[in-house]
Amino acid sequence: MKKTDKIRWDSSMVATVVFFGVLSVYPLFASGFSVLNLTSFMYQMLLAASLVLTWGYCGLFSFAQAAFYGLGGYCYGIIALNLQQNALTPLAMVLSVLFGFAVAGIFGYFLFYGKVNDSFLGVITLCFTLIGETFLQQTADPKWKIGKVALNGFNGINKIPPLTIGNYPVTGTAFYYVVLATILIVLVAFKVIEKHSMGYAMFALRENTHRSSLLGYDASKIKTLVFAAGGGIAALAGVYYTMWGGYIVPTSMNMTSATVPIVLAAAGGRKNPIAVYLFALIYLKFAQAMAANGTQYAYVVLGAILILVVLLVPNGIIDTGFQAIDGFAGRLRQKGSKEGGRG
Amino acid sequence: MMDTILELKGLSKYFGGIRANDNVNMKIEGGELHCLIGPNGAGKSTIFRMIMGEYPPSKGEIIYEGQNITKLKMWQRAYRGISIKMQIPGVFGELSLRDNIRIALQNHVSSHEVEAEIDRLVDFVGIQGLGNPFVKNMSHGQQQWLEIAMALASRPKLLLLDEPAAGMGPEETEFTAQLVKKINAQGMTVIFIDHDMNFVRRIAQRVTVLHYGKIFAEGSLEEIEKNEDVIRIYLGEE
Repeated sequence: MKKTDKIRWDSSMVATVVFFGVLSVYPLFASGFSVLNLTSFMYQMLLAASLVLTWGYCGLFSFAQAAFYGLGGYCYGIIALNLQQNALTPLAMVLSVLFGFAVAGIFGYFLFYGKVNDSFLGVITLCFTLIGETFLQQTADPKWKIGKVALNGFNGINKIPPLTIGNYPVTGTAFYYVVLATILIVLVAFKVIEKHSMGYAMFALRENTHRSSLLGYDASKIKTLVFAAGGGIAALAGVYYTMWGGYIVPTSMNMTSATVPIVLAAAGGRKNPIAVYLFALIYLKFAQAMAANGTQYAYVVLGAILILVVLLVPNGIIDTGFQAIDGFAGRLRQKGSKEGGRG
Repeated sequence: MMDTILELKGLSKYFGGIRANDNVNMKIEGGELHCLIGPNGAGKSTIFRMIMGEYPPSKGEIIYEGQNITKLKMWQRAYRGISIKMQIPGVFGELSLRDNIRIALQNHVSSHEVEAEIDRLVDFVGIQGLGNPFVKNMSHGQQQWLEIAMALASRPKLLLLDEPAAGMGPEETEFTAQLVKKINAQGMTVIFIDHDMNFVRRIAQRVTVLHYGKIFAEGSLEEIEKNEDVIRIYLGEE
């Protein structure tokens, strides 16, 4: 089979263009509140996207993304408040992402070089996340300080400054575009990785770690690196959450926070980042609407969706839809070719 | 005679009270087409797994190209030029045919050579007419040949084939026999395991017979077939 010079547009690519096209112009038509609201959805999309890398591409089922999300937020708050210069918040952001990467890398080292069985990975990462939440909840005593910043237990850290470039606080619509650009960059990076040797290495490990080792892949090293990268992305989502609200609390790492990104990734289609973004957007909007109407059944609906996905559409609702559309379009093209006399 | 490429020195493997292999001493010369035969449970696959690093030996050493590789990890041995085709096809079912070979190949050739090399390997193992299907949709025989292509992708010096014709019909078996001979004719050392003596007769140059984890007999195919003890324990009366 020869490489084709033409790029064939599939439904995922069309959806990506439409998705980012609409989001790019959204602030021109929406209220300030709506822009803030959509910004909060986007950093949650970013958190779910970290699972595309670790779980979708590399088969690492991890509940720890919420832990790195929370740690990223805490790290940003602690550094930013200690530095006491808003112009240094970009530095705090970078250090927080690196912190998330490092914590995930160290944790991953023990998991993957320790040959933890895939079936135990979910359990261990969930324990890690819940231990983190439990620890932070009990830091109410003033002795729990890092530099000048008290951890404040259940109340968390407040009055955390937003991202500031020079003297310019990046808030509102400006912050919206920062987060939008980030999720776009992450999606593009994932698409590049898919066609790179690293991408194929991850797919091989996902499918069959043992066989991959027999083909010369250092499974422990690759999994550790991927886990660390996923931790960095989750930490960045946590930083954005903290910048957005000006606070960080231990419940950012609770059971619900650990589970929701997994369900969003599973239900959207964990191997396809745009599918995850789309499902996350739809679900978060729906959940917000339910909460606004006084009902608390959003998580019940999410749980039901997860069960249906596992039973009926294991590749995810949105991604299965994309594949169906591409299949139909492919059959139409073939039919058109035959009718054109090229059969 | 070529140099010894692989030497097993006192190789033993115990699983609790079970002696899967016991003091196996074997030398494989470079360029050989060598067969391991023996009844079920004789320890043939266990030897392969120890050579590949999947099982650490309980005792003994594995010397490959003069280097002691006993403690090397699986992926390190693959990099040194040892490759294996498993008894049950170890292919990536959810990926395409070309992506399977690409994964096996990409660490060993430059990126601009990958597509041409995939084409060459697909032609070499005879699966060129299939297009680029998902591997889970390929037949068992096609998956076996694909896995041979993957094993060849790293350009190994030593190729281990665990029952390469298992589950195949007569025509597929004949094709596989010719394929293995073609591989060996290019200078690659091949050790294979098989139960089908017709297949073994077609291609083996030297044969080692295992029984209860130990080497029972070793020699050319003619010598083995004339050995009365081998006939009694394995080949059966015909």
